[in-house]
Amino acid sequence: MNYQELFPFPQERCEEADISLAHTVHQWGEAELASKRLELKEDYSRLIEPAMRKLLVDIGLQKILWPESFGGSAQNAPEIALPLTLALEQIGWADVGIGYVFASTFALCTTFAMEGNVQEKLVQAYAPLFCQSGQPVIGALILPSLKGKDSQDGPSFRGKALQARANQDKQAWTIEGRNMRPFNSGSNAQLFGVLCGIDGESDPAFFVVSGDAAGIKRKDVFLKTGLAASLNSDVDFDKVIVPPENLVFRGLQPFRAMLSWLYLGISATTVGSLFAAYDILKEWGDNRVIKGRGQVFKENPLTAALMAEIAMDILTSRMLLYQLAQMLAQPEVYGGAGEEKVFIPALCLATYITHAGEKAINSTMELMASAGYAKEWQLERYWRDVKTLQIHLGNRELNKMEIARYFYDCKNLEGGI
Amino acid sequence: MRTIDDFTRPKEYLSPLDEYLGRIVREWAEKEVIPYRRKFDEDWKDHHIIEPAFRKLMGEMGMQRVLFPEDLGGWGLGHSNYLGTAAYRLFEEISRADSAMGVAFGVVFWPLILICCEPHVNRRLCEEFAPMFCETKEAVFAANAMTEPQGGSDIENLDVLGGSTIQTTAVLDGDEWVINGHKLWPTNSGGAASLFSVVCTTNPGSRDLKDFAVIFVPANTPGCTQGSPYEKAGMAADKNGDIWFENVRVPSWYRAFGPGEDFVYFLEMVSLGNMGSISFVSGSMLNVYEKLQEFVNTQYFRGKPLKEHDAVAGVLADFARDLEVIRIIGYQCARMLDRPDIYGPRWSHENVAKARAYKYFACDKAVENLGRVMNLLETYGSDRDWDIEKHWRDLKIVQLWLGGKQLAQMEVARWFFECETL
Ligand SMILES: Cc1cc2nc3c(=O)[nH]c(=O)nc-3n(C[C@H](O)[C@H](O)[C@H](O)COP(=O)(O)OP(=O)(O)OC[C@H]3O[C@@H](n4cnc5c(N)ncnc54)[C@H](O)[C@@H]3O)c2cc1C
Repeated sequence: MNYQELFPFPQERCEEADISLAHTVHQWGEAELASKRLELKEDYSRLIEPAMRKLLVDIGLQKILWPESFGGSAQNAPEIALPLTLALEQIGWADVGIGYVFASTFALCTTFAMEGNVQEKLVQAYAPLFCQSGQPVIGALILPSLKGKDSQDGPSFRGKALQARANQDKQAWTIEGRNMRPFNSGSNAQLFGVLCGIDGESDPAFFVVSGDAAGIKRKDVFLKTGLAASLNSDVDFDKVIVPPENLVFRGLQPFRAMLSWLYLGISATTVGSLFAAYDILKEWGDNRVIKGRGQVFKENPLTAALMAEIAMDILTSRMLLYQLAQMLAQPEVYGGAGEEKVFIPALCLATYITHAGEKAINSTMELMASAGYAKEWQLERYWRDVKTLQIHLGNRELNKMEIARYFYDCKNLEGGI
Repeated sequence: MRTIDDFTRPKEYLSPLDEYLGRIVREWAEKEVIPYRRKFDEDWKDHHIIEPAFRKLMGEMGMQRVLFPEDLGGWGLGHSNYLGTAAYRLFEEISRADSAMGVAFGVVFWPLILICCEPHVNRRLCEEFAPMFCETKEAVFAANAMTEPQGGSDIENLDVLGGSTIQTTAVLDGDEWVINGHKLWPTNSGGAASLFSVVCTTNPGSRDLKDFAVIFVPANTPGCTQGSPYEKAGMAADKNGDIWFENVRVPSWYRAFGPGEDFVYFLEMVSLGNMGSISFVSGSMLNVYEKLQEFVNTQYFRGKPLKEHDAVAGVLADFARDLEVIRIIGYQCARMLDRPDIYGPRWSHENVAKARAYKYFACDKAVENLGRVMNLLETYGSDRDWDIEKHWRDLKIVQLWLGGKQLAQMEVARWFFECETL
């Protein structure tokens, strides 16, 4: 039995075509990544970029949200949550970083291309990039962050520093920000989504900014723990001028709607990586002999107990993941993605799933000892990636403030989101 | 502001060398390692950047000589009552800068403990190998070759398997041992080591611990080859690879002691290896504390430094609590190995089991805490420039080596609960 059968998901809610898309993505992962990994490791230009191109352009995953008139597949209704989840699981299985970059780009685009949010001018401006350019398109998010003392004079949002400010002059907006740390891909994103403070206004505004806008300065790609597909760097916006239609939204609720989609993406990618860890551990458990020549690894009660816990973590995480997907897919039942009654559960579930993912891969490595730590066995990459992915949910203790406030009606707590 | 020196150590039994060692190694770390360590990961294979720091510490400052008797050019630590506590301080200070350097250096001690330490000094082997370490300014590495392809834990699982799975064989031919076998993963393999202690059997498949042998093999002995290093998740300053022994011949007196005794003193290596592992953990965590201090003091939330947020402070408290406890346990472990007159031989089952218990406690806590700390830093948590992620990657393997956590659990349960069939 493979993991699709072992770890149940609500198949009855998924269309044949969605399952088939996931199957295609799995084959892509095998052909473009799994079979080349040992040789190419995490080489961006030789492995990751070509694989992204195949997935996003040739298979066409980056076209899903956009209207057919531009060559897109016009799947911009909330029901996209289920096929998106199925596909992201498979991307995560193959490469967590690609999953994350795709999920972030998707979340950014929901703000102006998702049904209910559609902003025609922006769709017309950006749909061709996604559907006709023949390039993989990456969107980077620049969101509120912990910053140093000097940032305290600048704009803030729910306790965290807004990394940029926007000012309107005549019609156009000018955006300024120094040493901004994007969530992903600062060095090569073609699109930025930036939450900015506006002088004299309490609500921040979210802008979409083209990566080639004058005044954008990208610093060197910095080294980080995982997610090699996200070539991140700090970014300066030096008087970047954007047209008025690039102001996508103001305020908390649409911001949270975007985050709910991001949380879904992070959760699905994490669950996909757990399938990969499961595959690796299964092979190890079937073949590794311990305690002399007598015992196959999986037959040892102590290690089997830990393997059972890992399986429980994967199973529960997948169940919860699909619950989150269904919540986002059915706003008429659960409420909109930005409403607190959806956003807070989304945050809870993503926190739970990424935590379970960290724990399960940590334990898997424990069971594989040095093999788990060696590049050759591949597990260590998932271990680094899943941890790096998890911290993109933000400071967990601060996030808990949002959760506690919602469930217990606390009056003075803020968590930055 | 509080510093790492505010974490408690049992001052009443520190080594007389403690202050001196701590000071010179900290100076070395600040000057030779910390400014460069962010580039170490990419240097895993060649050690172009890493090597000069080792040379300074081990060759020029002479730390690779400390165990040898003074009349052979050493510092006589093997004859002292401070083997454990002095080594702990050394390893901890090095690991504060880079735990892989702590490991690579610590493992130089491993084979040498067998021959340099009271009450079982092998004077002839000390004389044989002292020049290699004491008469040079170059860094010279030793390695303990134990793990084999079919299972490292089994080799250490001596109570149950009695060495019966060891495939590396030693056959006495006249006055020479002829060694054949394949080892993998030893720290300082991958081309680094000049001297190996090789765990082998004189009677394959035997459970008789008299057949368990530890034999010294200089790396340049004909028939001994090292493969190139493996690429790992972290610990770049420690090279690990394959070693093949093909009809390797060494004099018969290169065996550490003899039937029965090799096994006994090998257990001492296990208890010291576990103590060393705790020092790598506490050393790394001390540096994480420093970096964390910097982060939570300088990064703001709601107009205040992050540390002033009660929920964040809860995590900071847990981190400090665990580091405090780990360090005290580590020094307690070192003390137990310093004073066999009080705590019994370093190789006793009791000391081995307790050292394993302390080690796996320290490692589990470190993995848990560093994971939480990375979360506090948000996207900076995975940033090489904040150094914490490096410690997180490096420390994970400390939890896994020396037979893995599960073997440690079995040995601890067996000793404390007198289990008979585990
Ligand atoms: C950086 C680094 C440094 C190292 N340094 C050295 C060194 O200096 N010298 C050296 O010889 N080796 C060294 N090693 C190897 C290391 O000590 C071994 O990898 C470790 O002992 C486990 O052996 P293994 O990897 O073969 O795993 P296995 O023996 O296959 O064990 C894998 C897992 O099986 C389980 N297991 C094993 N036995 C039992 C049991 N009896 N009961 C229940 N569960 C069990 C545990 O979960 C264990 O983690 C090093 C490895 C690394 C990565």
